[in-house]
Amino acid sequence: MQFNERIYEIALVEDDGALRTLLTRHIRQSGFPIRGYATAAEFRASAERYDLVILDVMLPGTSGLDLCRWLRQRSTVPIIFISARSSHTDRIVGLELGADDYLVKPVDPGELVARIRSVLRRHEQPAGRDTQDHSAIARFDGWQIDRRRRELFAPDGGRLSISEAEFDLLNVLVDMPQRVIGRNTLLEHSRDRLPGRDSGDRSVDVLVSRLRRKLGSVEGGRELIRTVRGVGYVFTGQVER
Amino acid sequence: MIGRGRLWPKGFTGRVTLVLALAVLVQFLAGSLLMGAGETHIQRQHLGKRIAEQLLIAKRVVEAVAPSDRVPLLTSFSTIHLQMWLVEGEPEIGPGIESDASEIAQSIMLWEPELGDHSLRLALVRRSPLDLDRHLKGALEIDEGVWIAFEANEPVAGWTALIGTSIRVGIVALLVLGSAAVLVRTLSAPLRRLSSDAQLIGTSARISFDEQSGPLELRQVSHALNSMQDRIEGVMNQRTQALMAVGHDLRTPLARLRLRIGAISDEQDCAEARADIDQMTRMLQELLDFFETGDLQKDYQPTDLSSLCQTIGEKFDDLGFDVRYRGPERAIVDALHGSLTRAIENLADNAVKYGRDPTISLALNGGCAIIAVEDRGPGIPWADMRRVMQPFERLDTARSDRYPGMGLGLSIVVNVAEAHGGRLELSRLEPTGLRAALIIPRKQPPEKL
Repeated sequence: MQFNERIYEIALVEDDGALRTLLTRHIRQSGFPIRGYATAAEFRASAERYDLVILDVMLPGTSGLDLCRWLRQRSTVPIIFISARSSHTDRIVGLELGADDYLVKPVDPGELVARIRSVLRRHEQPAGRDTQDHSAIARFDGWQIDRRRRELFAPDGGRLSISEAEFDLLNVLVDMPQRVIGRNTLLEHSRDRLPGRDSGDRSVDVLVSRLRRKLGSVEGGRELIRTVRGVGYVFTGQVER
Repeated sequence: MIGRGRLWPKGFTGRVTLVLALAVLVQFLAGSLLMGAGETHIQRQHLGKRIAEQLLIAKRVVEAVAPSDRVPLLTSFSTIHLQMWLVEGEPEIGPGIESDASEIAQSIMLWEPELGDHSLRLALVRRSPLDLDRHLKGALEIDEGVWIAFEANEPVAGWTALIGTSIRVGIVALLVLGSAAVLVRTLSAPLRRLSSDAQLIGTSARISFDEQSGPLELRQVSHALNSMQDRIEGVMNQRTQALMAVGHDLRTPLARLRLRIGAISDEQDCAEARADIDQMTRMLQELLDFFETGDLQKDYQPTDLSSLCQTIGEKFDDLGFDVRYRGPERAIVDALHGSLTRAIENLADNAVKYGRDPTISLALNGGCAIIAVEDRGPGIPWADMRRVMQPFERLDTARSDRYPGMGLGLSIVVNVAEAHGGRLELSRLEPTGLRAALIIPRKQPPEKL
């Protein structure tokens, strides 16, 4: 798969032999060169050459979580967990360690590829890379957004619930404050989680209006996202990282 | 054995108090008798001594004066306690000493041995036939045919004395019994606490029994109950862990299957196989959610329930169902965000599957937040309301067959409600429909935050 004329190489660390074979075959068919590893030790030797790592959480010996921690000390390479554990706690632990996504088995093969693309795309964006370097938490006008845990807090400290797609959209907006962002850019970044799988301009508008209404439940929240007629949106908040 | 009669009280305090009451009654009777006897003895000896002294003086004076002066002189010897007069000839009481008065006679003789040379007559007489008390009457012969007769004005210890003693002993007995009952109640307080606590074992929360205070036997019982709970908890945890491990392990072969069905060439077979895998995935998720919500970490955070309900409603909107939200724009409640989301999703999922016109409404009422999911479906018969909240229970209808599941959806909601210190209430709507209300306190106790 290519963005910017580049070939992205992927590593898969999964101890179940048959699943490893099936997953590598599927991902290869989708256009990514991929290599499978059965254990953390095998993978570590050649960890540096990959552009994205898919980790099983439960591995014999060193767990996927330990491997993730090890990787994060060395690089910002995108990491996707695939795990048999689905609880919120497991998910938060994975994301807090710096993983970019956390998927629960049995992963839908199509969704896995979509997430790979989405994570790579986010990583390619200059702003996206910034989020890797900077802390996971960004603040704007008293609001607080935790990108790792995917949580949003109002100025009074109350957690505001927004959907995954709304979160992706807000993330892009916060990354590029005071700039007009076209519908297409927003669409590109939140394509994988758009409502009703209807990837049109209208669904971006629906997402923005929902997000705006929820932000608007706190005074001043509605004005954070301004519409630029015919072009897109501007995020007006003062972002501090 | 006292038997199982109607009088035998049921409670520990009652029984011990009854036993004590019987013991105190015995003590009271014995005490009255013994004290009565003792008092009688002392009183009679005392009476004897007094009479002896007065008689001796009277005798000496009478012997010393002329016979004509004797009668008025002796009469003047009378006191308010003892009357004396001179009798010449036969006195009115019979000869000898009545057996009841022998103790007094002995006392008289021992006190003033000089009187022993004279003939003494003593009797206890009633002043009227109805009189309960008896008075001492007697006569001492000082000369041939000359007697000093006397009669005590105070009655000799008898009924009145006994009644007085009884009242005093009785008051003491009642005081003893009263304070004993209070003490027994105090003593049995740990036992009552233990028994009411023991009734809560197995309901939900772990009951911690006090092993540090109270009587030794109760501490031992507390210890036994605590270790019993440990063992039960251990077994339950082991089972849950085993089932969860199985659930997690099944996900890997399911993941393989999901990739393998890509190789099925027949399109319909492939779609059906995918639906089967989806169903297994959902059932597995339901099972694991049930176990996970049974033991939640209580890391509450202030959460806006309004946006939470709206986001869930919109999620269902995107799937093609029209779920409306009614309620305030903002409502902050201490909550477990992920679990509460899952619970409300379960309720909304039931509403869109089994009902029509689903709504999610939110209301803040005093210290509580009420999240109600309503639909206009057939509802649940009153008789089944409790049952459907139990794990692995499903409504037995044709409609539910269309949505195969484990029957854990509402149990998960109950688990989540209880983790918040709240509850789930189901009710019927008129003319038709179901209302599922999740009621949770807005604030959690500070130590849990």
